[in-house]
Amino acid sequence: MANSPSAYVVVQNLRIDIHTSSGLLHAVSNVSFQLTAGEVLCIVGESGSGKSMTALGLMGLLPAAASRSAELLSVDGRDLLTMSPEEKSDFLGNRMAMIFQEPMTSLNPCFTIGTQMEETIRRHRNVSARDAKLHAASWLEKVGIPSSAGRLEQYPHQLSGGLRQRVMIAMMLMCEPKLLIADEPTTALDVTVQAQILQLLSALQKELGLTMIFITHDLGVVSRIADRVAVMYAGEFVEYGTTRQVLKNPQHPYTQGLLKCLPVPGRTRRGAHLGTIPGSGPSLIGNLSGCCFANRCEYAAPVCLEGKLPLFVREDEHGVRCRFRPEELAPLQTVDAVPQ
Amino acid sequence: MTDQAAGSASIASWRIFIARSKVMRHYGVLSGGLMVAIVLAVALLAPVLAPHDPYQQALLNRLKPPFWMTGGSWSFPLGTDHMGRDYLSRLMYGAQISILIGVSTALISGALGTSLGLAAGYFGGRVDAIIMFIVTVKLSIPTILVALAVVQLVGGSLQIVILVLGLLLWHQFAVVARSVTMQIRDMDYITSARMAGCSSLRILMTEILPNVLNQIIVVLTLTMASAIVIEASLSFLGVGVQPPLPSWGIMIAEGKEHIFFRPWLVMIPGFALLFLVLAINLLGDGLRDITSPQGRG
Amino acid sequence: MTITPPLMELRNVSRDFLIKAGLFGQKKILRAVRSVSIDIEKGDVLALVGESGCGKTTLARMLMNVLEPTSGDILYQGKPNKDRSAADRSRKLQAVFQDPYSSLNPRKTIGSIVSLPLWIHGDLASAAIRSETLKIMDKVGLPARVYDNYPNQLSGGQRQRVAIARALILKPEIIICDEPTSALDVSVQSQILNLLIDMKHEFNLTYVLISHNLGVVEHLANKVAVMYLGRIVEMAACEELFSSPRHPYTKALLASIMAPDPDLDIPDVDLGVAFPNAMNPPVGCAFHPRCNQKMPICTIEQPSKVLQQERTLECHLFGNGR
Repeated sequence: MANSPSAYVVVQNLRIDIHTSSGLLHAVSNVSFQLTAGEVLCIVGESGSGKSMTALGLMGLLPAAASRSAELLSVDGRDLLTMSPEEKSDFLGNRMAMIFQEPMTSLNPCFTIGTQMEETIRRHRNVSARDAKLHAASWLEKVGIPSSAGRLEQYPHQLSGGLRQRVMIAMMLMCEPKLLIADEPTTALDVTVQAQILQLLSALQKELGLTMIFITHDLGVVSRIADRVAVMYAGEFVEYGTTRQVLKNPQHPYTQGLLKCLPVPGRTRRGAHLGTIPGSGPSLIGNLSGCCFANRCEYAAPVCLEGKLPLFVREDEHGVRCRFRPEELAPLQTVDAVPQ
Repeated sequence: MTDQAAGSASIASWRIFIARSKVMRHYGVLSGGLMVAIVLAVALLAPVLAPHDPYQQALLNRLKPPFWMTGGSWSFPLGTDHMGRDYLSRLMYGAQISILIGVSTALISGALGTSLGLAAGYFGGRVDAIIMFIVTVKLSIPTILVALAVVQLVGGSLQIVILVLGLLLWHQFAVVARSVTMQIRDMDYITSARMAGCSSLRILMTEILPNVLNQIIVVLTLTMASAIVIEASLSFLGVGVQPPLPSWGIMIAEGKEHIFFRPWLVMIPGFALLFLVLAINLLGDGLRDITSPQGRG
Repeated sequence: MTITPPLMELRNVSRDFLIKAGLFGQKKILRAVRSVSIDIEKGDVLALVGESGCGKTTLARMLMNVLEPTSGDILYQGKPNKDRSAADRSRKLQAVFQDPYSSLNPRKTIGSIVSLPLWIHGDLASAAIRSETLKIMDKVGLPARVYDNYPNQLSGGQRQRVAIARALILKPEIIICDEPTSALDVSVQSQILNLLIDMKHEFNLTYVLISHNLGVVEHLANKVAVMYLGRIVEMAACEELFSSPRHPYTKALLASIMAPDPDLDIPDVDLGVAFPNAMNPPVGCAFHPRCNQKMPICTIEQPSKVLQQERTLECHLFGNGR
């Protein structure tokens, strides 16, 4: 992938290793992507696939035992790898923000949400206390929390999960970042609230022109919010492309398998067996070779166990980390092909 | 169709990574364990190792200094006390007493406190309220004073000291067992055991106790250490183990008259006490660190 | 003609909790489940759906006999639960829980976890218990070599298989599945769902399925009860409910299903941001603060239950005469 000048986020060969007593754990390897401003990338994967590590790695918020390396890691033309700690903390607050799965752990239970929001503004902006309060109130309004004056006096535990996530979004966006990283922001919420929060996030993203990296395990969410999708497995992107490419025409056996596993009302036949992906993910400790999915793949051949695979990218920028060209695989089945 | 063993799953390797690194990093367990093992070996082998009979008095040889001082000799490596008894031999036999007191006190109070804690945590409600009230009352009792009073009343002996300390040091077990039980009580595997038709006693013994045990072992070591210190204190005050038994506390008490001119008489048993208590605490701390992340999961 | 009673029947079951607010605070009553009536027929898969805090877990715990209803009766084949022996209850009904990490005792081996109900109930010799246990483990797809393993040596999917084996070993009639797959990855979820389907056919089981994943519900259930703040607001056959939801809350729930289809947009569930507090439920219909078809009467009066062609509804839109 050549660096296009318009890219807002460029990540090249990001690796994250975790030091363990049984060896190096390759949590993330060879992750590369670039996003133009205003794009939404969804990183989708199962637990342990390295998707959250990737997000933390971009933010530089890795645990102490982990180490990050990359050829290039730039946001808005600034190189994150060579930044001094002071520059970085300034840059993180003003340009990048992150939302986590459980807002309760990111909000301090001892202070009212008003206090916390005002403090966030004043840390990054030189404004008066009164302006900070007005700003906070207007942002609550913006994330769909009416009667905001009263809400500012409330403590996090007095709010429902959905409202807390809204407050969290307001707090993160108040300083007008350009890049938002959301790590499973709706997983802990009820389905109806999830739809509402996604709608809010998507509306704000369009209104503010945010570039967004959205981490989730839910292919349904991916299909509705993403411009681009990266399917992550065992620390690698195994498939990368536009949402339509990946979900309508999945090329990697893992992506195809995932789509077949999902019960979808109206599409999968009720009570029938669902597709499965047998086995479980490989150990990420030590030297990895071959295709990471080979041990579970129905198309696997001896050749799959050799060497490391690059992401094969087609002309339409649809990338697949699979040795076989798609046409050599057995006829592809997508969700739509499942018998009614 | 079946999933592979979890050893290969990356989540599992995370958990193993956390557990292993804690064991490896914790030199406390290794050094504490080694120190305890040394004292234990000395105590058990005292009849073989001790150069003299610890009760053998020889007034001609009284108050000899240890070998490294002028006037000291290898026939009494750590010198002799005011009755001319070999100090090293008394120290070795004293270890027996200290360990006996530590272990039996910890076992008595452990059994008592753990049962109370399990009951309080599992049944909750009124049972919990009553047991916690007893614990609160117990906490407001000054241990040493009560031990002093009781031993004064019924007379000091090894058995009495063990019994009194056993009845006075159980509260930590109760508190720890209660809080762990309360966490476990609401786990789905307890619900499942109830649905299978298990009695409360069976659930407490086979489902909950094994999960409480690793925390209890830590308390056990800490209680052991404090029992040893309290016994020494009681013996020092003259109401613990009675002479001529070679308790370290008695040795310190007897040595205190000579503290200005022959300080080693106090320092040697004092150091032994410090060594053993430190060893047990190191071991307990380490065990807590190692076992806690594995407790759940 | 005698009518055979349903396998399990809930009659106006309610459950309250006393919650103390603060040290000296007054005790408040939390009405977790309010007057729920359901018939469960042999072979049914009844799904309870609703948001967190709607009372579905409390209801499930009452079905499991680990929580007593404050009022109302749970009947098994026409016989009230309180008249049945504990042994009979546990022989007939078992459960599979959400979190395969907290549902297996970390200190016990897989073999002893699965065989525990046999030790309690059966009069089998230990060799027979072992072979019975291995047989059921084989049925759920667990290799015999994990018999002496501990739960932490197993993956999440295998752990859930252990939980299913434990539930099946007494050959019960009903299994309560409390979010059986929501802690699992997608690829493992489908394996467990397939297993549940197979076991239902093999042992002629009846399931009560509690889930917030409507895809899973639609796939497994034949009857769905939608709960909101302790009440069943709509209950109908699964196809009926999914093809023509009536209650505004059911509509919103179904609208929030997101199939992986890039042609569709984020659904608009059209609910307000207000989220009612179960400690202090709204007067009238509990759903009215979020409802987009609210009428004046909704804020005053609790709607009564209406039966419409095999479907029960609690909503003023479908009140008598409407």
